Amino acid sequence: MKQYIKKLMVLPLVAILFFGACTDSFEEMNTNPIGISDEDLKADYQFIGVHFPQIQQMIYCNYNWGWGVNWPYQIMQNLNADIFSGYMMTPTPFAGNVNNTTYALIDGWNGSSFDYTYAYMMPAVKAVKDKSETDFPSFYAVSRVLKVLGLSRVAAQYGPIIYSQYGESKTGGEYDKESDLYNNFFTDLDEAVEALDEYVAANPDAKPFAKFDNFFGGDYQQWIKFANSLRLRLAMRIVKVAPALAKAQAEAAIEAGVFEDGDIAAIVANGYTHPVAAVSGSWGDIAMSAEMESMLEGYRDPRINAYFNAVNDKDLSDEGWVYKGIRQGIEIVDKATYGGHSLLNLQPESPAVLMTAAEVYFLRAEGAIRGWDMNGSAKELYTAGVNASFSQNGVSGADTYLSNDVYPRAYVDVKNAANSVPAISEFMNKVSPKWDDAAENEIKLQKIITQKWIAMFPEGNEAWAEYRRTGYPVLFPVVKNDSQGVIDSDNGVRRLNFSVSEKDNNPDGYAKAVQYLGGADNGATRLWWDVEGSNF
Amino acid sequence: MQRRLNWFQRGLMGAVMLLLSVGIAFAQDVTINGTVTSAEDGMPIPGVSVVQKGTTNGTITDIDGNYSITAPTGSVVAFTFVGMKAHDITVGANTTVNVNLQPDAVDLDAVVVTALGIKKKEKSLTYSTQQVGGEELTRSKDANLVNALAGKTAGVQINKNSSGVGGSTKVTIRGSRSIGNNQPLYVIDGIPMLNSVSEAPATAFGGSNDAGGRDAGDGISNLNPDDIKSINILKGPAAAALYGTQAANGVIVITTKQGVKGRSSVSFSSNTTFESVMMLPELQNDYGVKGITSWGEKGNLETYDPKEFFQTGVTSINSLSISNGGENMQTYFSYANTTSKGTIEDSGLSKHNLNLRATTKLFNDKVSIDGNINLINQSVENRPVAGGYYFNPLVGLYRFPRGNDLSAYQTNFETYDPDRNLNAQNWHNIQAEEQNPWWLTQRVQSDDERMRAITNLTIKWEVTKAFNVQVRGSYDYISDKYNHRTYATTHTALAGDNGRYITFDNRQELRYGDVLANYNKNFGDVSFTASVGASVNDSRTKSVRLDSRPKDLYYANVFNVANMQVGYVEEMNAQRQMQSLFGTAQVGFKDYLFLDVTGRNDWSSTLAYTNSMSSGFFYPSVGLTAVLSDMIEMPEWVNLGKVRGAWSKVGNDLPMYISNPLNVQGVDGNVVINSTAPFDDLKPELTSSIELGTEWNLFNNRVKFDFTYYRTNTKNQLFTLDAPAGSGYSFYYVNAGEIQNEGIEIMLGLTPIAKNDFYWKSSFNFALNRNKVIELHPDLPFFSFGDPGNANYWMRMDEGGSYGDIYGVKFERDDSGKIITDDEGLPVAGSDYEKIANINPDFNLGWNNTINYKNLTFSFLIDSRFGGDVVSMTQADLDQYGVTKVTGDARDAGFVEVDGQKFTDVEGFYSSIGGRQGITEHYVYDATNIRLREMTIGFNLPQSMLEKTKLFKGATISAVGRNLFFFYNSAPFDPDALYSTGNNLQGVDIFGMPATRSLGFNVKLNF
Repeated sequence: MKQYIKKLMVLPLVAILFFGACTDSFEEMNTNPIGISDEDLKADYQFIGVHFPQIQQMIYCNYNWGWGVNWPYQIMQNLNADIFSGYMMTPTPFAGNVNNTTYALIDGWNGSSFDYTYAYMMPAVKAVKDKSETDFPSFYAVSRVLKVLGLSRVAAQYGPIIYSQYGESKTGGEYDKESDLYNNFFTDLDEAVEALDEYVAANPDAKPFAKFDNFFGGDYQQWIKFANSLRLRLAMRIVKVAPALAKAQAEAAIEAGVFEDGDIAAIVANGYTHPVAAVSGSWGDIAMSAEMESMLEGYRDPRINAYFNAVNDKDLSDEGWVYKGIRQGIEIVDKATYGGHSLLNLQPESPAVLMTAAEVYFLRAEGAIRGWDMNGSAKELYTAGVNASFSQNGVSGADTYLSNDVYPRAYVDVKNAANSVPAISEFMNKVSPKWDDAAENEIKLQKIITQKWIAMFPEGNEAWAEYRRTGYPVLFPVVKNDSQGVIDSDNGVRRLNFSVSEKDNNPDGYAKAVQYLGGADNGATRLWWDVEGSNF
Repeated sequence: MQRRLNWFQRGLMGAVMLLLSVGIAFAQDVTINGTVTSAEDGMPIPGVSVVQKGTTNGTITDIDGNYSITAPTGSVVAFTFVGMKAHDITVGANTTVNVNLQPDAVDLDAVVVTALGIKKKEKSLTYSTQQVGGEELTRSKDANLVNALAGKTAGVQINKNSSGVGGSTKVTIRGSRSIGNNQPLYVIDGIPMLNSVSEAPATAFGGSNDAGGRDAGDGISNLNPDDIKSINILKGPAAAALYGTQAANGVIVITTKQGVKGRSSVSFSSNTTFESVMMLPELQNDYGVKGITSWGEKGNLETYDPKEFFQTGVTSINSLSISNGGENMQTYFSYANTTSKGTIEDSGLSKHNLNLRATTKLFNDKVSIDGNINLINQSVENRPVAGGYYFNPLVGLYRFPRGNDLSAYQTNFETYDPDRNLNAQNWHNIQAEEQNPWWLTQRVQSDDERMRAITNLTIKWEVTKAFNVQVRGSYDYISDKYNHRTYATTHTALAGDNGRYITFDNRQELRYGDVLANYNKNFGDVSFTASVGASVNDSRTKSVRLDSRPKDLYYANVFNVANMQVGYVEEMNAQRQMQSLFGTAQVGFKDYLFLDVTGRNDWSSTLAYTNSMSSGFFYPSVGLTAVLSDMIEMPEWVNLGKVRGAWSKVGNDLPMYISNPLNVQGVDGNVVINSTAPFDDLKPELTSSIELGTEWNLFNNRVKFDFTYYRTNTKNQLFTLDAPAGSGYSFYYVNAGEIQNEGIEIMLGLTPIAKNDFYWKSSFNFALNRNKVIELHPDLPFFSFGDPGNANYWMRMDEGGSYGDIYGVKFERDDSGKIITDDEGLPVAGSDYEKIANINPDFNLGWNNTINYKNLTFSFLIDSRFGGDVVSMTQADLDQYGVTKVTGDARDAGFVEVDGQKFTDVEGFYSSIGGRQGITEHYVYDATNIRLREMTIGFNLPQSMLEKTKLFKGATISAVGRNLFFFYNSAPFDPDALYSTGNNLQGVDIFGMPATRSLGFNVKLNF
C-alpha cells in the first residue's frame, strides 16, 4: 500500500512542474488578439497617425465612439454656442421648452463638451505625445496645434480647464488658471511652429502626415500658417485683460505668416460628416436665427443662399417670406410651429470650417484699429475679409455689398407677434456693411465683428466667444427667461457650468477651478477675458 | 416499510426485468413460487427484482408480491428492492419460498455524487445538497430541463426568460451576490459544461446596437431531459468548494444515464403539449380613438382582443433510448426530437439530440473506460424578442387605438409603393418602438442554428481496492450561427433605407482534463478517504458579429454580407485557462463523525500581468458532521439524526484583459483608444460562507426534515469607477464592496400514506434569503446596473440597500404624505430617482406531491413566492395610451384614486404618470404569486394487459400540464418571467411575451 501512497504524493509535484511551464502562456491568453498594438500598426506611421482622425473629428465633434454620430455635437455645441452666438435657434421645445434657449441651463447637455473632449480627444492627444515626442517631432507638433485648437474651444465655453497637468494623476486633475492657460496655448503653438519649420527645412518634400490629415492634406506649411492664425485669434481674445501680451503675440503671428485669401482650416475626409447637416437637415432640430434673417436680409447679403434653405411652411411662403429665422428664448408649444422655418444649407459632405482667411483678415483689421502692426490698414483688411468670405462661399457682388449703407431688417415672428423686433429697436445691430474711415473705433469694431460674425457662420463657438468679448453684433434678448434670476436677459449666457461628473470625480480639482473662475459656477459668471465695459 | 419508488419507477423496473426474462422458456430444473413481503408490516412488495445470480435470468414480483422463477437447483437467487436489504436464497427442493425483506437504512448509506464526480455517503456530507431524480424532470417535461426544477428544491430560484421555447433560464442559488456572474456552474458526469448566453437584452429598448431584445438561449437547455438520471444541487459554496474559482454560485451536478450490466431495455416516450398565452394586459373596449391614443369618445365599439394575435403553440418531444447491458460492454443510446411551434406566428424550434455512451471494463475489471458522445442540432426560426420596445410586435398590438380596424393592418401589413417598387410597411403610427405587429413577424426575420458536440472519456484504474487513479478528458463545442433580416421601410432608427442585416457567428469551445487519485481505507474505527488531483479548464470563444446599422444595405431587401455597409462590428477571439491543483480528505470515526477538508489552488489566465499571477488563489473548506442517532441512544422512531457545519472560501473568476487593456479598432478604420486604466492588483471575487444544518428522519423514514442556515459574504467585487477627466482615462477598476446573503432552507418530506396500492409522497421546500449590501466603495455612491436615461426604471445597488433594488420616479408628496399637484390638479413627479421596489422574495415555498393509487399516478406541484416587487412598464405605457381597462374604469367612474386622493382629469393623470418616463412608483406590484406549476395524471397499463400485447413491457399514458393557473397573483403579468437572464433588467416587464399555460399528454413505452 505504501508505495501507492508515495505515488500519490508524487502527483501534485509532477503537476506543479507541468503547470509551472504552462502558465507561461497566460500572458498571451490574457492579451486580446482583437486589440491593436503599436507593432500591428508600424507601417506608414499608422501607430501614431491612427489617432489623428479621432483628434480631428472630436474638435467640431462628429466622431463615432460607438454610440452613433451627430447627437454629441448637438449637445456639445449646437444647443449652446450655436444658439447663444445668435446664429441659430431650435424649433424643438426640448425638455418642455425649459432649456438652454430659455436660460435654464441643462447640465446633462452642457457638461458634454468637457466630458467628451477629455474622454475621446485628449487620450488620443496623449497617445500621440507618448509615441512621437522624441522620435517623430512633426507629428507631435501637429498634435499640439490640434490640442490648442480643441481645448481653446472648450476653454471658451467653461473658463479654467485641465491643460498642463493633464494625465499627471489617475485620481485627480489640476485645472489651469486662465491667465496661465493662454500662456500655455502660446507656448505650445510657438514650439509646434518651430518644430515644423525645422522639419520642413530638413525634409522639404516629405508629407508623412498626408494620410491622417483631415485639414491640409499633409502640407506642413499650411499647418504653420494655421498655428500662427490660431495664435492671432487667441491673442485677440485676451486683448482686454492682457493688452501687451495680446499685441506681442498678434504681431509675432503676423510676422510668422498667417492665413491669406484661399486658405481655410476645415475638416473633411476620413469618414467625417458635417454634424449640423444631420441636426438641421435630417432631424429638423436647428434652424436660422432671427438675427441672421434680420442682418442678411437687411444687408442684402447674397451669402444667405449659401447659408440657408428657403422656408418650408405654406403659411410663410404664402405671405411671401423666402427665409425666416426663429428668435431664441421664446415660447414654443410644439415642433411643428417653427419647424418649417429656414434650415441650414449644409450637406453631410460639406466641410466643417474651423478657421477661414476671412476671420484672419478681420482679426488683423481689429489689430489695425488698435494700432498694432498688422501689415495693412483697417479698411484694406476689412475689405479683404469680406472678399475672402464671398469667394469662400462662391458668391459674387462683394463690391456692391461693401457699398451698402443699410441696416438690419425688422424681424417679424409670423407665428407669434410678441416675438417680433422692430427695426428701431435698441436690440438691432445698427451698423451697415459700408466702411467708414471717419467713424470712431467702437463703430469700426462693431462693423468688423459683425462682418466676422457673418463670415464665420456656422462656427458658433468662436462667434459666441467674440460676442462675449466685444458685445457685437447686438443680439435680441430672450423673451422667456427660465434661469430663476441667475442669468440676466440683457447680458445673456457668459459661460457653461462645469461638468457635473468633475464635481463628483475630482472634487479638489473642481473646487480649485471655481476659485480660479472667481465667481459662482453658473452661466452668469464672466470669464477672465470677458471684461465689462468699453472695448478700448 | 419503506417505499421510495413510485409506480412509474416500478413499471420501468418491471419492464427491464421482463426483458431480461425473455428466453426463460428453455429453463429447466425447479420452478419456485412465493410471495415477497416486508418484514416491517408484513405487506407484500410488488416490483422486487428476483434474479438468478450470475445470469440474466430473472423476474419481478407482481402487484401482490408474487413471483415465479425457474432456476437450476443449487443456484442462488437474489431478491433486491430499493430500500430493503438484499436477500439471497439457494434453490433447493422447496418450490414455494416466501421471502421477508428487512428494511435497510439504504438512505443512510446512499451515495451522492459530489464535486468533481466524487461519490460520498450521503450521511457523511457536511453541507446541504438536494437531489432530483430524472423522473421528476420528465414527468411534466419542459423543453429546457432546468425549468422542471422549479419548486422542487429549496433555495434554488428558477426564472425562465419570456422569449419562449429555446430561451435561457436564470438559476439563482441562495440569492444573487455578484455584479459579475451569478449563474451556477453546470457539471455533467463530473465535467464542467458550457452554459454561457451569447446575447441577452441589454436595455429597456432591446439588445446590442439597438437590435431586438434577443435572448440567445443557454447551454443547459440543449440537453435531452430523458438522458438525465439525476441532478444533485450543491447549493452552498461549502459543497462546491472543490471547484474553487467557479464555486461561488453553487454547482448543478448532472448524472446521465448509462447502460447497466445485465439489463437491457428499449423505451420510447412521446410528449406533446399545447401552449396558450395567459396574463395578457386587461384592456378597455369602450373609449375610442383620439390621435394615436384611445382617449376618445365613449362609444359602442367592437371588442378588441389581442389574444387573437397569438396562436396555440405545440411542443412535442419524442425520445427513444436503447440500453444494452452486455457482459463486456454496456451501451446507452438515445435520440430525441423536439419540435415546437411558438405562440407567435412563424416562430418555432426544432432540436435533435443524439447520445451514445459506452462503458467497459478491461484487465480483470481493473480498468474501466467510460466514453460518451452527445450531438445536438437546434434551430430556431423567428425567435420572438423577450421584450423591450424595439422589434416587439406587442407594442403596436396593445397600443392600437380602440374603434379602429386592426384587421386591415393584419391583411395589409404592407402596401405597394410605386416609387420604390417594393411593399412598404403599413401602420398608422410608425415609430422606432411601435410598428405594425404583422410586419414585425413577417418582415423582420431571424434564424439561429446551434451545432453542439459534447464528448468525454474517463479511464479509471483500480490499482488496489483502496486506491484508484482516474483520468478524464472532455471537449464541448458549440457553434452558433444567427442571421437577422429587417426589410426596408422598417423605422429608420432601426434600419437603413434599404433594410438591415445582422449576422453573428459564435463558436465556443471548452477543453477540460483532470487527473484524480482516490484513496479509501478503514483503520479500525477510523475511515479515511482522500482524493488529490489536478485539472486544466480551457475555454475559447471566437465570434464575429456584423451589423449594417447605423449604415445601410446597398440594395433593398438583399440579405448577405456583400450587400452590407458594415456599421457595427463585434469580434472576439478569446482564450482563458484555469489550471488547478486540489485535494480533499474525509476522516470518519465509527461511521458517525466525519471531518471533511478540501483545498484548491487556481491559476487563472485572467490574472496574467497582475501581482497574483504566480501564487494564484487558494480556496479552502472545512466541514464536520455528527450522526447523532448513531452516537447516542435515541427512540426507535428516530431513523436518522444528524448535525452538520461547514466553512468555506471560494471565488468567482474575473473578466479577461482588464489587467492588460489594449486599443481596439472600430468601423471605418477608427482606433478606439482604451479608456480604462490597467488594473495590475486585481483579485477574484471572494465569497466566504458558513453553513449549519440538521437532518432528521423519523417514523420509519416517513418524515424527513432538513434544515439549513447559511451566510455568505462576497467581497472584492470588481467595480468600474469614473476616472476624473484629467487622468487620461475614463475609468479605473477597484476590488471593493461586500454583499451578504443570509438565509434558511427547510426541506420536509412526508409519506402520509404508504399502503400497498395507495401511496402518497409529499414534500415541502421552503427557502428565505436576505440580501444586504454592506459596503461598496468610498468613491462609489451606488452601483448602477444600467442607464436610467430612457425609461424610469433603474436597477442599482446602494450601500445598506440590497441586490435587486429598483429605483424610479415617485409622486412628489408633502410631509403628510399627500401627493402634491400642479396648477392643473395633476400629480407632480419627484425630481430624483428614489427606491421604489425590490425584486427579492420574502420567501419561496414549493409543495410537491405524488399519489399512486393502483395503476394511477397523480402528481401536482404548487409553487409559490411571497413578497418582493415587480414593475410593469407595459402597464405604464398602455395607461398613457388610454387602452387599459384601468383607464376605462376610471373614465367610467370619473376619477382616479391614489391613496385616497382623487384625480378627476383621468386622461391628464395617465398621460403624465404613465409612459416610459412617468411615475414608476404607480406601476410597482407585489410579486407574490401561488401557482399550480405542474399537474399530471398517469395511468400504468396493468401487467395483464401488457402481457397480451406481447410487445410492451411497460406503458404509461399521462395527461400533463405546466403553469396551469394562479391561485393568487396581483401583478398584471407573470412575475416570475424574465426579460433578461443577465444581472440588469430584473423584476420588470417591458412588453414581455405573455406567459404560457401548457397542457398535453405523455406516452411512455418500454419494450
